Amino acid sequence: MSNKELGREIDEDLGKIESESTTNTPRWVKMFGIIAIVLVLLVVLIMIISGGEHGPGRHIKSDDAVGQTLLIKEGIQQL
Amino acid sequence: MSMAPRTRKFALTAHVTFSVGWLGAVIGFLVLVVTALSTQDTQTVRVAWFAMELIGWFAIVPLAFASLLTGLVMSLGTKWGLFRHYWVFFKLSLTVIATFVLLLNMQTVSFLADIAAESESVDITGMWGELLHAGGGLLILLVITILSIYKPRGMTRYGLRKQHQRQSKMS
Repeated sequence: MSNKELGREIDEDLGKIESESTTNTPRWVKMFGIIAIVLVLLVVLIMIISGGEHGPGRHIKSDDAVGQTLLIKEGIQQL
Repeated sequence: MSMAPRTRKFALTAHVTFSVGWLGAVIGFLVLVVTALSTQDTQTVRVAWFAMELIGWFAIVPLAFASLLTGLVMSLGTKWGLFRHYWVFFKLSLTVIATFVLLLNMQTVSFLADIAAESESVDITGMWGELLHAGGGLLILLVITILSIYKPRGMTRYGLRKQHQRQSKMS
């Protein structure tokens, strides 16, 4: 593909930018924002319900000084 | 700052390759999680933790950073910019959030993989957390892909101001 053809392709791509002039926030942006806020609240809620602890520390029992006791799923046989 | 057409094409190819690679690597990670959750074999769960740690640190994390970096180059090297269009801004925000959560989650994966290597126990409850993280990550990457392809219209206030300034200069 020549530089001229590539340039034309980019011009077509950017033509979309130049033609925009509306000052109203698009509906999809508002919807996107609402969904994002709901998801963030949901994540915060889950973290609060699960005790607020997150990361590796969540998998260590607080009364275990060595920190090696793990929650084992019932039915799984230890080696 | 605007890139030459050939440079732009090369940067775009790199960005698409890294981004699609990231998505594919997350799917591979999810396959391991689902396999571990659906088995009763302890050895399979242990191997899954090791494999998840390797895929995470040597495929998903590098691809996430490569995708973020090439995305920044693409935005700054073209007239799309970083904050001029809502779709670019959302895409950048989601990529930064996904990379940040990925790094935090990989600490947990490494911790549980170490436990699986050093002790005779395996943590299956941690797999549910991985299902949530990897599933959420995959969903975010799909949204990013859709935004990249459809490029929905809408300029930010900053973008409109820049456009107005450019038009004023031209006239």
